[in-house]
Amino acid sequence: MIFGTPIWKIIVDAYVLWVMIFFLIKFLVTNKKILSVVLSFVFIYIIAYFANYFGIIVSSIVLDYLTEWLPIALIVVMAPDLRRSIENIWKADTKRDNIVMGSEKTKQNIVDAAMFLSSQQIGALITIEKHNTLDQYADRAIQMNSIVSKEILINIFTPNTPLHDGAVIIRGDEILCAGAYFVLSDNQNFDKTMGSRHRAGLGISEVTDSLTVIVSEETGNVSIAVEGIMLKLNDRDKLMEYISMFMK
Amino acid sequence: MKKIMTLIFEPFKFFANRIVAEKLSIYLSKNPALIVIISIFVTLTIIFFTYIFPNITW
Repeated sequence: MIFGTPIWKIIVDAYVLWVMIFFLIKFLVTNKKILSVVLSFVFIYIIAYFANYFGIIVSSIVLDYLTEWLPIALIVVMAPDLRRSIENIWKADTKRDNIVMGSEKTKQNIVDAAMFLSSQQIGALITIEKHNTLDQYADRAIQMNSIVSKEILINIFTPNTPLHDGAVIIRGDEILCAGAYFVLSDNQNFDKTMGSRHRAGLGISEVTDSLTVIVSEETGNVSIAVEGIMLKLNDRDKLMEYISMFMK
Repeated sequence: MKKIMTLIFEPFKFFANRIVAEKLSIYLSKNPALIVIISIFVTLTIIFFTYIFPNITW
């Protein structure tokens, strides 16, 4: 007994509470946008607490209203993000422990395909998976499960074919799928002239540890997006260097 | 004037800034054990303030 409460009750209470807090934190971590809004809410709640504590009347009235309505506003405004985060939270740990990166031949094929597509000004989006699984995107795309080759990659992105509009996901030496659609980045600092292909490449690099090779349809420029950063690389050797570094 | 305005809005901007959330999110994703530790710490704090703190006589 601790202060009149049986210990088993406290243990059960703590366990249930811990599970709920654990999933809440995991839920917040999966979506940066929600986390950012929740951090702002925490700040407002802290201000409201101090406004009440020090008896600042007008501010505390306004802040009290705000704190009551903010959770509802959060649900209404961020409904799509909340849905996505809830979907992710129930999935098994999305990190793969045993990763198999592609061979030298795969790297060479990716670079060859990207440079060829660039020379022909054909748009392409090739995402190479690392630790974070891209299954959630692959599930909704067209399954390929074929060995990576320059010819297949070129064929996939040839305009006016069913698979050209979307991303190819590469896992190890295999093309997992084609025609995958990613969530677009809403990075405000991103060049407004860049198209949705670049934005999709940047978007997937923000939420996973993958590397995406993007070939612009308009200019033929080759860029890579990794960890939320986009680099323009029109040089074959540089592209090979980055891909080799990533696929170590 | 600009400096005064910056001084007023800077704390709000800091919390609303997505970079903070991004860094926190990336850090916690890379260290999943930290989520467990934080949740244990928060749980113990709540349990302490619910069961123990009200019964402490100073």
